[in-house]
Amino acid sequence: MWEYKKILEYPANVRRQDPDYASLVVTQFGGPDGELAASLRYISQMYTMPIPEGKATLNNIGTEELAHFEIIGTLVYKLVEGIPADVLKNTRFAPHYAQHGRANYPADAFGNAWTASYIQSHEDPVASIQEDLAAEQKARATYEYLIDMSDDPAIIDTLSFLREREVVHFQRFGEVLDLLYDYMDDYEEWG
Amino acid sequence: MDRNRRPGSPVNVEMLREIMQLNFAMIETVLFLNTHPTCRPVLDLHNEFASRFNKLVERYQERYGPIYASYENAEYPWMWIEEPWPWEIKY
Ligand SMILES: [Fe+2]
Repeated sequence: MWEYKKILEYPANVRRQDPDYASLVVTQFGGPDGELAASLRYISQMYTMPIPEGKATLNNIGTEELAHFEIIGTLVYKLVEGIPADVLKNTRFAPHYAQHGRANYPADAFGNAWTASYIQSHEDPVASIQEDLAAEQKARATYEYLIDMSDDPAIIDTLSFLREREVVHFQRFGEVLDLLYDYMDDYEEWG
Repeated sequence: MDRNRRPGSPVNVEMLREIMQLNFAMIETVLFLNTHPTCRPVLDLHNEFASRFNKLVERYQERYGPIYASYENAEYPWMWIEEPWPWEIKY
């Protein structure tokens, strides 16, 4: 089960409000390489992972990704909080406002709703961990695009933290993959 | 953005940030230990971070209200619902 801590994993501030940027950074809330996809991918895969290191890694990284989902949600919320409709209507955020008001909704930067088709979960552990390694790289690249398009030092600070986490997760999944190969060498049926 | 706190719902951002730092340090030791379960130095580091985190959270909860809904010395009235929530704080 999960228990909420009434803290963020890392501070999420915005220096100034920016509805246009909200409609871009939202892709890490509900886009193909976003934090919701990351979390649900890992906590779906953990059940059939054959080695203890792999189960724990998927559980804890899946948990951390949900905390990142909250950090991105905080940025989107702060970027548009209290901005009147007649201002929002002239921004990229207008379609979001038409469908959701200022509430957060897991969608990508084009407005496409989150879908489980973004993720895969295989009983074959190598197939799953390879998917996870790719997912971490895609998330890292997305953070770099988003950082390149911001000039708000507070947002850049938070996105840089999240980018760095993807690098660490990639490292940990790489170690799980090595452990999986050792495990498979020990069991001929896998070889 | 009005970040003024209602009376009776204090928040100590400096102390919260310290809690967040220790929480993050633990996230790192946990992930590392998951793939290096026999690494004694990081295990010791983990225990030290966990101990400091738990002590600081306990002090925070006594003074400013619960970090966990399961806080055992909850005061009347129920403080868990007090704002600000983590997304409402200027850090
Ligand atoms: Fe990640």
